[in-house]
Parts: sequence; C-alpha cells; structure tokens
Amino acid sequence: MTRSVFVAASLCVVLFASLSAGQRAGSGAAGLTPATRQELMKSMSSAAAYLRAQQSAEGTFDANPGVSAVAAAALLRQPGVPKEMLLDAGGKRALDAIVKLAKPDGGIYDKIVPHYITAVSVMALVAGGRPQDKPLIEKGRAYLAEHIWDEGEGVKPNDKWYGGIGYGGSDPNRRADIISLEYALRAMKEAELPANDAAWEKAIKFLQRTQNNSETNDQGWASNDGGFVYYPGFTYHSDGGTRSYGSATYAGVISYAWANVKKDDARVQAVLKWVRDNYTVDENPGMGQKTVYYYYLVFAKALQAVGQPVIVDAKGRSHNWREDLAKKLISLQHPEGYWVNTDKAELQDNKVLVTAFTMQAMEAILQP
Amino acid sequence: MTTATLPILEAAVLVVAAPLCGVALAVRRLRGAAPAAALFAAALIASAFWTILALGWSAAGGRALVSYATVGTIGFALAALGAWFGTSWRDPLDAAAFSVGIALLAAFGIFVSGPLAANLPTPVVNAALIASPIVSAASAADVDLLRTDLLYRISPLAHGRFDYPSWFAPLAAYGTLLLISLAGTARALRKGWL
Repeated sequence: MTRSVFVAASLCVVLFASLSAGQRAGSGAAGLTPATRQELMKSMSSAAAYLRAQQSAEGTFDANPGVSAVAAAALLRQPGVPKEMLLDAGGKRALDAIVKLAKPDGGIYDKIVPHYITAVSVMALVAGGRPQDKPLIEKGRAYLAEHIWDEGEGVKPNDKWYGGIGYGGSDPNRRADIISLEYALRAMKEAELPANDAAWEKAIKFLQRTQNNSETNDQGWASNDGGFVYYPGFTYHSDGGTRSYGSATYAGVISYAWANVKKDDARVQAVLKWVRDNYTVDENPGMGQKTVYYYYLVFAKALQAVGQPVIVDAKGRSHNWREDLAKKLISLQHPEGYWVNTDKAELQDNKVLVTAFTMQAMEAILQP
Repeated sequence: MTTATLPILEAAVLVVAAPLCGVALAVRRLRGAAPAAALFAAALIASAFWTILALGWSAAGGRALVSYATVGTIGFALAALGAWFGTSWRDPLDAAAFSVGIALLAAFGIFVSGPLAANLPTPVVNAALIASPIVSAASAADVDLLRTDLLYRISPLAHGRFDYPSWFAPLAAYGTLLLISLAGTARALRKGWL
C-alpha cells in the first residue's frame, strides 16, 4: 500500500515538475529543452525506483557503507519529491544505518577508507536533513577538516602533500589525491564548514600543486594545459607522463569552487581553458570509459557550480552542456532503470553506485 | 616503515624462510624441530612485545597482536608444509622448490597477475587475499595494503571490488593447512621415505 501510494505520488510530482519546467524553459538561454527535462525527470524516477528495490531491510545498499551512503544521498536529493516522502521511502532506514557507523572521533565508517566513507556519509546525512543528525554532521565535517594533511601530521607547507587528504586508515604511506580531496571538500561544503576555516586555504595549496599550471604550481613537473593530475607528479592519463585528465580536472574545478576560489581567479580561468579544449560527454578525457560516471558527476557539478551554461570548445563550437549531458545519460540508461560502466575499474561495475552517481549528475543538470 | 608494518615484513620473510626450515628439518627426520619451533615462537613473541610496547595498549596494539597471531600460524603452517614435502619426496631440493613456490604463489600471485586479477570474480579475489600471508598479516593489523601508494598505482586489483579477510579467516585457513601438513608429515614418516 505504502509503495503504491509513493509511486503514484512520485508520478504526480514528475508530471507536475515536467509541466512547470516546460513553462520555465523559454526563459533559460542554455537550460534544458522541455522535452529533455521531461525525459530526465522520468529517467530519474525510474532510477530511484531501481535503487529503492536494491535496499536491504537494514537500510544498506550492496552491504557496502560507501555505496550505501552515495545511494542514500542520491535518493534523498531526488528533485521534485518532498523530503518527508523520500525519508519514508527508505531514506530513514538508510540514514539510521549510516548513523550506526559513527565513531567517537567524528569519523563515520566501518573499517577501511575512513576519509572517503566519512565524506559520503556526511553528504547523505546532510541530504536527509534530520535535526537529530546535525551533531554527527558537525563532528564529521570537523573530522574531515582535521585530517587534511598539515603541520598536525608533521607535513610542512612546502611539502607536496600539504593540504591534501587520502583514503585514511592505517596506511603506512603518506599520500593524498585530488579525488579524495574533492569528496572531502564537497562534504565540508555541504555540511557548511565556515568559509574562514583554515582547512580551505590548506586545500587550495594542494589543488595548486595538482594543477598543470606552472604560474601557480611550485612543482617542477607542472606544464601549462590548466588541467589536473591525480596527485602532484602522478597521473592516470592513459598516455602517462603528467598529463591532465578529465575526472581529475573537473574534480579540480569543483574543488576550487568548494574552497571559495572565484571564477575570475587565474587558476580557475586556466582550468576552464582545459575544459574548453577537451569538452566531451562521450568519455573521460585521457581515460576513455574508465571512471566515466564519476566524470559525469563532477562534470555536471563543476559546470553548475562555476555558472558556465555554455562551453565554447577549441573549435569555436558552442555546447549547452546540460542538454548534451542529459541526452547522453538518458541514452545510457538500461530499461530496468540503472546505469553501469563497461569498464569495471573503481567499482563502476556496481549498478547501485553508478546509478547513484548518475542521479546526482542529473540533479546538478537540473539546478540553475 | 612504521611499527604496524613490521608483522607484514615478517610475513614476507616467512614465505620463503618457513618452508625452507621445514624441508631442512625433514631431512634431519625432524630432529631439532621442537627447539626450532620454540625459537621461532620466542622471536615472534619478542617482536610482538616490542611492537605493542611501541604502539601502547591501544586498539592499534590489539590489532598488532592479532596480526602476530596470524603471522605465527602462517609460519608454522608453511614450515609444516615444507616438512611434509621434505618427508614425502626423495630429493630435498624438489621439496624446497615446490614448497617455496607454493608459498610465493599464495603470497604474491594475486599481486603479479595484473589485469587478470581485476577481471576475476570477487569471491575468487577474496579467497586469493585470504591465501596471501602478506595481505592476511596486513589486514589483521588493519593496514589497507592494496591502497598503499605503490600497489594502488601499479595493481589493477586495488581499483576493483574486493573485501579484506576478517581476522579469523586466515587463521582458519592456515590452521587447516597446518593440521593437514602435520598429518601428511606423520604419514610420510611412518611410511619410511627417509
């Protein structure tokens, strides 16, 4: 009974959102066409139904705390559906399962990759918006800010790892990377870490040292394409070297945005040049299909965050990225409602995780 | 190197040393086996004591203790395997080569199998991780070995789906190997191969 009421209500919301979106469509110079918006809403509704069907009785997804938190956040952020309805449709169970993982030091994780799991857990709790989770959110954001490499861990400002964050745990090696940092900064931003917190400035140091921009990067390897690598001096670009690649670069764009660096800043302008030179929604530039759904997520969130509705590529062609990405994602959806990558690296053979990534990318597309 | 990595390094040494010791003892019809076992246990206890002293009575210290228990079980099991092969085969060099070869395959096979490992089904990967003394010792110490910098960069395994073994899985697996190897050694000695 509850499920059928929820499905009926969701359909009404989708219909209403589509109609109202259609009325607004004419005003947006580079928004979605009414037809694409309607397709996108239908696609998200079908994806949400798929995800809900995968949830266990305990509230988890795929028996994996990271996947569970990403899926919970995607479902709880579904546009156009009232939060109470989302909470009742499995959201509360998912959040309760996350709350059980809270540690006294503020981390929210089971055993491994504590920084990443804490970041996605904080994002899920924020998406839930329950008052009782506020103390955990605040402790979680403090935990993340605390674990950014700095003098507290004996890392000096001239060290290449300074301001970064890694997977965490009992890792005998000091390391950090742009993807872990993007997750941490996104969680800190969503959890409203004050803009004057020292963690942001420290993170900016690491971002600069990960960017191929010799004007602001004090590392000897840096070139000048403006994009980002995985961590200072190391890339996953299929051609090797220290070439910038798609997902790292959009993670860099969005991290600058989270860290309150303005769009007209030279570092952001440099990376936007890379974006223009490498614009595509067909692959993760430099990596092919590897981690392409994370690429779609940061692509959408980054371009939405910097307020760049149209990208003029290196050949002078204009791209309405919202329309391009929406059509691409809709075309990739399986009839059952999920997405999955043909390349299984980084768990992208996991339908729940990839579907949750895609729903969050779609949510960013729909934001003004 | 940190204190937490000490049992992992000891496990790596044991992969080669333990089977060889087992074969050497088998050649001597297990004369001196008891003192050798006592010496190994004493060295392990001393190392564990030093580690826990460095880490203090904390969660990390407790995990190190579990890690040493894992290393100890693995050491005895691999030595027993060497002894079984040493008592079963006429040529000790064959026994040494096979027992060390099996131990090396279990320890490092999953790391060196490259893209093949990434395409294996998750249960197979998980079983291979239990079989690896290195991963088992690391996992018991709560060290995320596959996501350490070097392995994360070079091994496709780290980028796929896997679950580290729980602390009791390697203990059970190597405990079983120990019992089977001891039984095999006793049987071979009764048959009088040597």
